Amino acid sequence: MDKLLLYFRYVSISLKTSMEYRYSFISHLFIQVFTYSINYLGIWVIFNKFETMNGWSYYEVVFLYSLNLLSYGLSAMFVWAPMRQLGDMVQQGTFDGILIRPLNPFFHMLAKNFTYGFLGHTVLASVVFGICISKLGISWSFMTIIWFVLFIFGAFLIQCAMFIIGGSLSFWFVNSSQLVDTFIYGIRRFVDYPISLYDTFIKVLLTFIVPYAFVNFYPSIYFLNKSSDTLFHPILQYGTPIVGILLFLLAYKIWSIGIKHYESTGS
Amino acid sequence: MRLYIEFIKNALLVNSTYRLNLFLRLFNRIIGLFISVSIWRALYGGTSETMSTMGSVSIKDMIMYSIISSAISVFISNNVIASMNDKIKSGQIALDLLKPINYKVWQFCNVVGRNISSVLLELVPVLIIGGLVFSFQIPTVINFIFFLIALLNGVIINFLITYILGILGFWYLEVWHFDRLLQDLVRLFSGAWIPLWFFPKVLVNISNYLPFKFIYFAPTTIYLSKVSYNEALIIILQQFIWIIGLLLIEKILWRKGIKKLVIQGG
Repeated sequence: MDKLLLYFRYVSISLKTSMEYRYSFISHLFIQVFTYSINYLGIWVIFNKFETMNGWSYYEVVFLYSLNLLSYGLSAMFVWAPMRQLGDMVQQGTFDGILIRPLNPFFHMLAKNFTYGFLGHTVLASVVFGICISKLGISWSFMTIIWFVLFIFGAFLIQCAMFIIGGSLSFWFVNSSQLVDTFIYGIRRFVDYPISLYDTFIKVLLTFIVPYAFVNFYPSIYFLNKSSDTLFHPILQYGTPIVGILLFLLAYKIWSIGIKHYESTGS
Repeated sequence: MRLYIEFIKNALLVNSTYRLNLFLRLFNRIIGLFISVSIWRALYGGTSETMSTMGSVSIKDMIMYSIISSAISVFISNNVIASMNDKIKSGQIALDLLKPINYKVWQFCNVVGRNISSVLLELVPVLIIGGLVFSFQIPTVINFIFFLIALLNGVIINFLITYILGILGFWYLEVWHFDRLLQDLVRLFSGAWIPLWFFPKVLVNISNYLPFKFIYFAPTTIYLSKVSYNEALIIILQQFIWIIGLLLIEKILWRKGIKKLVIQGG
């Protein structure tokens, strides 16, 4: 409980800092919203010409895309900046400063580096997501609401875990941000569209090795009732929360091993 | 002239030294190519052709379009905006301006050197993979020559746009904002992602007022013989008009910017 309070203290300080540079803050938000609006516009252009993408309609693809963007925006607010800074801190030796505080280093890094910069992604994705839900006429019951919350939470954890695993690599390879960016952003591009349209190799990769498909594809199968697009086994459509928790635990484990490794180098 | 050739050589060497960066860019490009081919195949479904504003377009055309688009992207990514911004912020630009060289030509030499090294290290792998996995369409000799001219003009237009945005750094220090906006606009309106022949009328009209379609779409339509020789010549003429226009804007801004330049410390 104390930790939670402390976390909010840190976050409110970071909000105050952002607000000092109001112009920069607003232009940053504008640019993020602009980039993703162009992507949405592109999807609209495609569906203006073609009716379906492998049986997926316009709003279904936008639903899928928004689920990825929403969970990305949410997770990036918490973990993008700390994991990005980690590489620099390890390189410059300033990470030692984190280790000598009477706080869990993981908690401290996250609390210190909350970023409002991804608010644009989150708000835009939520709005578009809302439009999709009403257009697709998804019928809500108690069970679907529970699943909905679990899916968003699971997707959030998966995206967080990917950032944390990527960031933790800095403990071994000092500044690995470029490598991590390429793999995270490169591979994540596949799930902007339904993965059922790729070759088997990609489907296996995104389901079992780098499980980004659980961020949006499998939840969409459940919500949009796309039983024709079931891959591997129908049970996977409920997998997101479990994959999220397991992956997050794995990420934390990798982080912990990384910190031990860092200490032993004694830089 | 010899001096500038040395600059080109220098940029070539620098670019080939950062092998990891090259490898990562290549990796991203190949992922992008596979995604777009998969998407077009999914959109076409079983049909092999669809009508567009430029006549019938086959799935083979679309695969070739994606390959050419990723090939062109090898020459389009440059770091002119970022490099000028760093120099303006750090004051380094004052030293560059003291040198007896034309600043713009020097920046362009960097781009050329970078591009020459990219041919071997990025373009060839993209073409080999594209050719092995998908099928290739070979244009006529005349179309290919027109294509090369249009491609070169496109690279120059892209360079001038980035250079102009770099000059804006004299007034506005957060130029990376422009860089992002430019990338977004290019992604959509150049046809790099979706060919303009699938665009609805409103967006085609907007793109006609912008130079971006001359970077990707125009060379590619020439390669795929979607335009006649006359139309190809008109496209190349339009590119020259844009180049002249951009050069004029650049001259005016540069003159004003240089007066405005204040070196902070240094």
